Amino acid sequence: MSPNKPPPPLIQEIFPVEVCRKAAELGFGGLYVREDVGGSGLSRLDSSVIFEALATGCVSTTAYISIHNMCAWMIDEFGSQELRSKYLPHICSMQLLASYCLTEPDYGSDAANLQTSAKRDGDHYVINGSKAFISGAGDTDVYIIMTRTGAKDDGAKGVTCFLVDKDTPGLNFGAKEKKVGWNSQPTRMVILEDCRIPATNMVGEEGQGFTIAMKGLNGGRINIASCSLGAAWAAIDKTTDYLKERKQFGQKLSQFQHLRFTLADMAAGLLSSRLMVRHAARSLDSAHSHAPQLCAMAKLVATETCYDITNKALQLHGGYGYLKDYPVQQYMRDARVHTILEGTSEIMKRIIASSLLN
Amino acid sequence: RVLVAVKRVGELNADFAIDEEARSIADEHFEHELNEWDEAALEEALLLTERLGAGEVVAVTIGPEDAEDTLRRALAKGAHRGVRVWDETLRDADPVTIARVLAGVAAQETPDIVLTGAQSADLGHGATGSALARILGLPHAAVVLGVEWDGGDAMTVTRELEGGMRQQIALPAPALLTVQTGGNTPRYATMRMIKQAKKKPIAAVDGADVGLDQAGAVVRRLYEPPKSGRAAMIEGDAAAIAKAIAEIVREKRGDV
Repeated sequence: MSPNKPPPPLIQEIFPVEVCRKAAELGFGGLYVREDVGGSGLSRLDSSVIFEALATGCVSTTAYISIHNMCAWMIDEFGSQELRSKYLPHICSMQLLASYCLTEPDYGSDAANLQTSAKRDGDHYVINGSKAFISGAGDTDVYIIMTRTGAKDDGAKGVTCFLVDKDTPGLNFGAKEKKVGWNSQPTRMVILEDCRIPATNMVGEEGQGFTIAMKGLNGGRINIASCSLGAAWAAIDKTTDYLKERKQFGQKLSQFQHLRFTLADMAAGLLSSRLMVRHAARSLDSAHSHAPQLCAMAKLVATETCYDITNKALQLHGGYGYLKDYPVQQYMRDARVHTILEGTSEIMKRIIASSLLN
Repeated sequence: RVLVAVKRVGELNADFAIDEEARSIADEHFEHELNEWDEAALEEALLLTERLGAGEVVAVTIGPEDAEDTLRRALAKGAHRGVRVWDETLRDADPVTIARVLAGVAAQETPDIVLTGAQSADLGHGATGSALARILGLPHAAVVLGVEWDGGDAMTVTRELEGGMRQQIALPAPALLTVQTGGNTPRYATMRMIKQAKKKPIAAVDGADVGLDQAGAVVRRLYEPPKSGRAAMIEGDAAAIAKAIAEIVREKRGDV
């Protein structure tokens, strides 16, 4: 009864680079990057609203755009003036697309103990190791890679961030992963074998990598949560229309109290999630000391609640909800991974608990 | 200098109510936006200055403070300056009155070309632009899809006619054109331009200065016509329905 190895997808999975570039023309390629290098100089709150709106169209593509934005910000905030002026104008226009490489096959939530190494050799660093589940990998141009320059058990202190260009010898990619959702962006392993890069490609200082990762992820969490909001919003919209159309037992579904109450709960859940996300975004904008915990709480609640909303939306569509002809299942499949990446819900709870009890 | 008149129009929500006494519809029933035809006019203005490599686009609107967001929209798309004229007496003013006010602004701005939308999405008189041309004594063309002008004494203008036909006419410059939708694709404002628009100047002008001693048109009645039941439902299968329709058509045509 067990299924065979999964066959290739029936539906073609396209990475819509041209659509992303059109979005970049409007300023969406570097939303919170400074204007002197082509960024839009907007706030995290502005960005959250933008990602939520875009995600009602496509959660997966918007999520990729948000990852690209996070990488752009890391270069803007921590990169040298040389790196900023060389890369950011093209990253903001999305002539160059970016990927973020932190997770490894053996180090996901335990990211601080990552093992991809970077050894200094004169004016260069030589990187060895592999990164897993990298969004855009193989199709993107610029890779922000977290490596260990310190000793094996240095933990977070030994992590350094580098920018690696796609055509650098020693940078290779695994096969494209077959995912349940997020299929408008390719996901691959990134494999580094004696990958030699100039020391000037270091982003920030040696040993600063984990700080950069965590600061980037605060914003990244708001972005992913915002994408969840968009998914839930679209799912609620579709469900509202469906309930008004579909009849059973001689009545429109919109007349049944249980379904009315379910929709009401969904709407209230979306609003509460949205307010948490925007509150967290504002805390980042004002550099509030509680921003990391607020971002963690917002991601935890919004991604979980909004996934549940998309799941309920599918249920309310009955059998039709299960067909790929109807969009509601896509919002559900795309939103499913948001409770996992950029910090699992479990890690979010760890962060929140630490802020309360440590 | 291109002067573009823009209007903040209201789109009615699905569930609106007419206040028959006040002869109006309450503001809460509207979604407000920049008039689609004015967007086309603004786009044409921006294209003109881009092609000429020089020039200033000034957006003017008649409206209270909340009309400023319409001007900001125009500024975000690329207009250089905004002018907003208002006085309470201008509320619900008719097209000719509006045109008189706009003429006052034009007198100050001395534009080389004036563009308006061919009509407004809400009231749809299609008159303001032409009235303004008459008051200013400018040659004009209405329902224009495109303009070719090298900044000299004359321009060529393409107008839309019925049935998808086009008419090309030559006009002396300066002139006023009312712009039809579909001739160009209005650009989106980029995030940066939306931000920068906040800093662009909007001059607020008191409408009372314009001297409106002549009464304009007044709304006598605003109502929804009664829905009459003149529709006949045709029953039966496809063949029976087709037969019934054919009989109706023959009857209406006067065939026996």
